Amino acid sequence: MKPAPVRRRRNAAVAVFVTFMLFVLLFTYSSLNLKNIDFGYKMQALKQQVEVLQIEIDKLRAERAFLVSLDRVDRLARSRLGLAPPSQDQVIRAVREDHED
Amino acid sequence: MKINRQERNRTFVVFMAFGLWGLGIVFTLVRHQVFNYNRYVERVKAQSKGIVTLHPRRGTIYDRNGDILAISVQSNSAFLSAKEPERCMELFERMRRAVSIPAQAVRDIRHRIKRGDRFIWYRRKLNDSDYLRLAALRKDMDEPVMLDFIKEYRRVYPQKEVAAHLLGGVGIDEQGLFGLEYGLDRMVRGRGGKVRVQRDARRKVFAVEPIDEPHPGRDVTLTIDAPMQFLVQRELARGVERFKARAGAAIVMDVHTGAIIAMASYPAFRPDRAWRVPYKRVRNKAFSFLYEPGSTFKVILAAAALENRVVTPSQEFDCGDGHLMLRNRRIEDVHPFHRLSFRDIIVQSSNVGAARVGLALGSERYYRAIQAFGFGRPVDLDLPGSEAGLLKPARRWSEVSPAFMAFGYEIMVTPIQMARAFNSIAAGGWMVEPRLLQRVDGVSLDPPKGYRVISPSTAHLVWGIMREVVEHGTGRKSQVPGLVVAGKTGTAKKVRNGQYTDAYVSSFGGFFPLPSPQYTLFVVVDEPQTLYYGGDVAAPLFQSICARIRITERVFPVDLAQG
Repeated sequence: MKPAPVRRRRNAAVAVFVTFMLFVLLFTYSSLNLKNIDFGYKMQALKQQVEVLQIEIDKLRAERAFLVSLDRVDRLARSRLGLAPPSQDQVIRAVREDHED
Repeated sequence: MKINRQERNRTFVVFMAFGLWGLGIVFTLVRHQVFNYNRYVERVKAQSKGIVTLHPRRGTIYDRNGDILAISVQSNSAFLSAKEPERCMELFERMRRAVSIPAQAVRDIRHRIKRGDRFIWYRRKLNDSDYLRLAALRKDMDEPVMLDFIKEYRRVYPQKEVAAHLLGGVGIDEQGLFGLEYGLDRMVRGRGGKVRVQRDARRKVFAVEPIDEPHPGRDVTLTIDAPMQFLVQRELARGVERFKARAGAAIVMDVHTGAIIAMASYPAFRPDRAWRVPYKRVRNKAFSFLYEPGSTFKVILAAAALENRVVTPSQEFDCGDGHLMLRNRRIEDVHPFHRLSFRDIIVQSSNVGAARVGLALGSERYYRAIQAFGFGRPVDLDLPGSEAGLLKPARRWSEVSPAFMAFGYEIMVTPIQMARAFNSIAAGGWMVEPRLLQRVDGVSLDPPKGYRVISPSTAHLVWGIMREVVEHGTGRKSQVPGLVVAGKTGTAKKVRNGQYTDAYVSSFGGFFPLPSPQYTLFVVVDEPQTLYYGGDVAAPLFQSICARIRITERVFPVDLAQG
């Protein structure tokens, strides 16, 4: 039979180890939980960013479509540059030489 | 170091105090976390969790080149909460100075503020500059909760009036009201969804759990070519305004695929303001305008008579010097002819000659041919309001019906039906159903199956006659230098309250470039004032549209194309 102080020391060591492990487990669990919440925030922020960028893209696409629309280009060509479509007598049909055989 | 008894006792007391405090914490934690766990979880859920409804994004509509015709962009809608009416009224006046609203809305909002309503729309779907002005106002407020914003989608039509009649428009809640926006609503609208969100103490979302996944609307690509649509619309507007007409329509089709490249209707409107425009204006005349086709229908007569071998192109008919009486009803020609060959009856557009051919063809054969050309059934284009026209069954025809139907009376058609019939002749006698949808979510759609209407040899005979109409007949004003065009003019009196009036519908249909037609074009002008014959009104319009198509689509003159 082992002497009493040795047994007591061993029991104390086991108790300290178990407490330590419990603490480690608790710490790991809470830090993982915190990380989870943190990632939740990050993910939400990224999702929001994607959404904002998508909205921005849609707006820019609509803007681009408006800027290149023939209606607008035609109006600008007439009002700012003074252009107009040629009349039939202003069109000269050009025939390439290699087509004249 | 030695510790005396007193010190040991004090240390013991301190440790005991900390121990008891720790135990208290542990006990409380166990009580909260174990025994009352469910109660607190429910309380937290009630405070931090919520269900958010997600609005679907309406699908984008593109033309065949991938240019946007309609797109939904997110915008903000401003609303007021009049918990404290006096302060709210003050804020409202400031908002009015920043972003104006109609007088009727001002009166309505004032009334609701006085009543203390908790939710009052100020203005929905604000543009960016208006939103920024109101957001700045909100920022300056002591209690910003009185003014807030809700995110909503706003439908934008960047090409303005281009293809407006085809696209139609949407209501304030993005629901399709008419046109393709209505016809394709189930496809384009999408389905909203719901998510459960978890918020922290600052109401910031940190977790999202889907309950019902939202489905965004599907993107649709049309067969329409936006630049050509623009040019056709402009030419149509010029033509209609030049002849002081009431309305007009023009349709451009791809002969082989049936794809509608342009479909214009006049008068035009802005689709983003569609809900404010009277119905008469937004109605697409290309498929809802019912009229008696007049002489353009002689093309159908020619195809039917030649296919049934009732006539040959050179066979001569008595044209009665421009008059024919049938059952006390008088048939007249604009220019009197004594005798004309069948070919010349069509080229010179003789009603008397056509009536004689119609009588020779007979009700049954003529009715079958008219049906085969698609009259009496609507053109299926996913567009609401597409008319089937009016075609009496053969058993209800009178003895003289084939004679009158020969030159396009006793039958009601729409411009798109006429375009479909002309296109089948251009396609060598093969009925190609018109189509507007090219792709859905990037997946190409199969063209509808066609069927044979007339033999290719008959179709080529009709081509020849129609070509002569343009070169020597009533359609001379549709000639395009360097292009071989086949076509037919039409002029018909309009009926009002069962009586023919002095108002006319002028039309011209044709295809080009011969000998391999690529485009079918049909033009209708309703009630032109200065001139009214199809050859004077619709044929020049056909010519101007044709000339534009030639440039944009690079349709080369025959002599160049053949080298």
